[in-house]
Amino acid sequence: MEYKVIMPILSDTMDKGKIVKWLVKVGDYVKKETPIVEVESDKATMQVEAGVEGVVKEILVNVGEEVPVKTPIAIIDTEQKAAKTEESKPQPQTQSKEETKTTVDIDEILNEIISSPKAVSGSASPAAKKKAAEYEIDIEELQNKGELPKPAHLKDIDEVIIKKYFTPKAAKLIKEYNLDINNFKLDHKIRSEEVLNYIKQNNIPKITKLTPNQIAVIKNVQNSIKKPTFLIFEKINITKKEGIKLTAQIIKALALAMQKNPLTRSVLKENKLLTYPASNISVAVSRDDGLYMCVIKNAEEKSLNEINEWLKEIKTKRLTIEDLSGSTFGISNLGMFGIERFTALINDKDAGIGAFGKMNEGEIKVTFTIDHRILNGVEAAKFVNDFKEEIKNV
Amino acid sequence: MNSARVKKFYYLMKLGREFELAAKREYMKGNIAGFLHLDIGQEAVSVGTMQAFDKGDVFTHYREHVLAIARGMEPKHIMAELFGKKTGVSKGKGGSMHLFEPKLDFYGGDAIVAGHLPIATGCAYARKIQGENAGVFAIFGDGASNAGAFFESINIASAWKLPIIFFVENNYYAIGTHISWVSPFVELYNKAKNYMPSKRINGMDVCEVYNAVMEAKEHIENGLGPYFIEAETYRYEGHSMSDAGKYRSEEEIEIFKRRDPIENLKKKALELGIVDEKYFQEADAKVEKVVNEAVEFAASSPEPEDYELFEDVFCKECENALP
Amino acid sequence: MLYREALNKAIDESMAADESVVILGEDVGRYGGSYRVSEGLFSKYGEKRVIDTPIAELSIVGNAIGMAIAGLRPIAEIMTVNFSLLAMDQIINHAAKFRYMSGGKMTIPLTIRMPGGVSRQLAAQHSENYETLYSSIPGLIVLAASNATYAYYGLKSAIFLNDPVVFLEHELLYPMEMEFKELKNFDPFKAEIVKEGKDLTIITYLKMRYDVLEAEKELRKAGIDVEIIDLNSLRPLDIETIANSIKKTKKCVIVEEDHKTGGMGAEIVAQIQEKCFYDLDAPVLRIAGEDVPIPYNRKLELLSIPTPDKIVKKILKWKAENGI
Repeated sequence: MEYKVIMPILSDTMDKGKIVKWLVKVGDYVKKETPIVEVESDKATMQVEAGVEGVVKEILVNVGEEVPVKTPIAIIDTEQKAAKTEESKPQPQTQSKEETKTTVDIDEILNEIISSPKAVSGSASPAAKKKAAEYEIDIEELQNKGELPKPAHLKDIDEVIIKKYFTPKAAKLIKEYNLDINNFKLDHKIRSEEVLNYIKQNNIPKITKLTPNQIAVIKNVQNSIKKPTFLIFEKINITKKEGIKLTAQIIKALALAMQKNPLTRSVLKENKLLTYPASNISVAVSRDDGLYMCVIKNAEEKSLNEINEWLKEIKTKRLTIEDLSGSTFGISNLGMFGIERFTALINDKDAGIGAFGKMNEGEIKVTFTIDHRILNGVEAAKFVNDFKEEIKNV
Repeated sequence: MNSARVKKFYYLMKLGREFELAAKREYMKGNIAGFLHLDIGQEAVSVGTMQAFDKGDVFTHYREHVLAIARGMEPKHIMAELFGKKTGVSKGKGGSMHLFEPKLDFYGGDAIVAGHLPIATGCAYARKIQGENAGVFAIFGDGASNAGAFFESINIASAWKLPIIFFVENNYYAIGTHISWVSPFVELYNKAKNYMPSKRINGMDVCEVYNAVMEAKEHIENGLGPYFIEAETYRYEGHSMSDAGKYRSEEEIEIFKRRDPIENLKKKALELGIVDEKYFQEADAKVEKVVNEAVEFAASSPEPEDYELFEDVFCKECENALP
Repeated sequence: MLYREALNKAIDESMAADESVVILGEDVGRYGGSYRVSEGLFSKYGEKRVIDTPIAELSIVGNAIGMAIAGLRPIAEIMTVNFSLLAMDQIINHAAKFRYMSGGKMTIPLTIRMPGGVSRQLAAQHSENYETLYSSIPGLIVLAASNATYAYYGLKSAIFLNDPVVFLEHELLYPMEMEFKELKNFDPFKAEIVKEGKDLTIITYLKMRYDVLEAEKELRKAGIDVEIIDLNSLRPLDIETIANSIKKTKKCVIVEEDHKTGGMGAEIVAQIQEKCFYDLDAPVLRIAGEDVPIPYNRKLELLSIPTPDKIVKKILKWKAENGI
């Protein structure tokens, strides 16, 4: 039997070897461990043993030649010695190590590929591209026309979709109600009626963001409820003056009464009572942009006309922080709305507030809410009586 | 010399030698790849130690085929591992350097020089508190005796009186670096003698190796702390298959070959008449058969399946829990 | 409950429940642990199970692996993650690979606890995170505990898992008083949605969780409704939770204390773009530690890592730059 001696693999990195020297010649008898050749690998020169017992039949690679590993370099005839010992059986023919399957079935691969988002040209975020592909929007074209920013984001694509599928009126509703456009079948131009119908059917609220003032009012009334207060119910008699608002008369009388009662010109601050000389009164004013506690300064020094003018101006003027701060007492008048009697919550740091109902044959029902930390019952009673006196004269 | 023991020593050493020669042949044919470190010449150490240290835990370096055989691992499963086959002891994932068998308490094939010594030391600690006195056997080469992990380990083992045998096979070369170039001592037992009983023995004589380990075993089993053995030995081959071993002279190799552990044991046994020639013939035939079968088994075994790439990274429980 | 108390409780209960649980490391025993995590355990369980080792990290982990092979469940404490570099060979070449290279025969039930991160002026050799190094290693589980609840349940899980776990803690968290939640079902590999939101996903872990929570207050004022995800497990990574969040918010920011280059964030970004690229409406923003060794000076130290203030500014700038 013929045994092929191969170019051995002498290191982990060797892929070819060079014959340096043959140590045997054709016809030589060799044992398993007889060195037969010197081979130069990438790392060193080494002797290679026969590996089998037999007679060298053929030398296939000459000295100086370089061949890839596993290439046959010599043939040893093992038969010639086979009779001598059984052990010189050739080594079990080793299967050439077959590489794992390398063929590729393109169809199979294509079938496995899941549908990925269509490529859309133009500059946009991945999410925007995905959505544009879904709604067949040509980002590049719109960007060339200047109708889409570069790069485009989701919100920009949403705008385009809304514009494409909704009438302007319907689009406005979409925004006002913050509706998800995916709830509509986007295959026709959608009119406002359809959107309104959807809003009604699903009872969707219109979302209005609170203004900073509304948030402040909420905070204010929440704080107010924590104050220790008591109520005084009274009736006052008043003579309405032509051309002057009742509220102006009330403010004037209150301002004068406050001058006689320093505690009503006082606020609490960190265990101190701060008493101010001026009668600064906060007045509940209903404006187009909401309810404000507007403060009239030095009301005791102002004429009825001046107060009347102030009340008119304050309804529409642009409010500053000055217009909303510095008061020590407040009023709220709901008489003009036909309210008989009510109670009001104390504004901010004020010592109290008077809530005025409608005039009934020269008489108005008023409820004072008083902060007990600033005024006690007796002090409040005196103030209310002083006010009742002043109101007669204004 | 005990006849039965000598027979066993001879058979295992011969089996080790022929196994390694077969491995070398298969490597050259391309059936084995990577790093292949042969134990040829050092069989007395592998067989003598494992025959003496027959209980307890064994932690070894990467020149471990013959140790594994002597510990009781089946040659065909080792050869299959060398071939990278599914039937290998480590399912073809470890290769020549990583032959693990917890059933034999054999934690073999650590391929980071000295890397297994702290692990063996920790295991010895556990065995001590578990009340198991069989202890731990840690075998390493002269190169490892220069690493930090070695010094940390003899320090801890000594401080805590751990039941562990440190066994260095001093074959004088760390790949191509002679021990005398990099160590103040060529006789390495000097490194441990302030920490524990330390001795130097002839590692080319299987009986001497066996006796030394038996003595050390008694020492650790009696709770006297660690023990250090240095065995002088020699590898006939290069460090691994990619090393031609040109840094050693023919004369030096010849000197050690004259001390060949297998031939000398046989000669001595025949001289003393403890074992007859017939046994050696039978043993050689048996070895030949076992090695051929191992190669055939390895060659005809299947490759691991592709899915096995992802197995054994974590335990089943963790694998199931991992997303 | 203090963070360190949660860790102590986890170890204590595990040691009481299972005799094979041991703890080893420098100063874990008589001293009580450099961050007092193992306080009281030495007197309770004795020197055999609460083991004072030399300060030789290679051996601390190497010994622990040996103990695990022998059937114990060791908890190795490395004083800081910075010192774990000395044990890297044992962690990576041994603990992480033994199961695989033995064809599944070896089991290493090992927990390695490591405090880390930028603390207070500990300078370059005591301030690193290195979670990226460990989470890039197959065979290791890497958990990062940012809070008492996860510290307790996560550590207990780690101790009783049959694989090596690197358990990362942050040095600034130890003395923090935290809410502790009793959990019925616990999955150590699941990320926590700390806060739900719809505008933006912030992914974070360890101590940065708290910086992100601070930043979130400011972002809320700016009208941004943030969703915060605390990863808990760095490997495996709970990419499902991340992807689901991005599907909702379309935008993602990663806040990490570790250096930016090659950090956890880089890996997360890579996985995000593989998993849900077409859900992104902007490039993912990484807010990370600067690429410098950590300086000693406090001002420079704070400059080198994300802070709530920087997180807010960077997010607002990123939003403006990207028109989102």
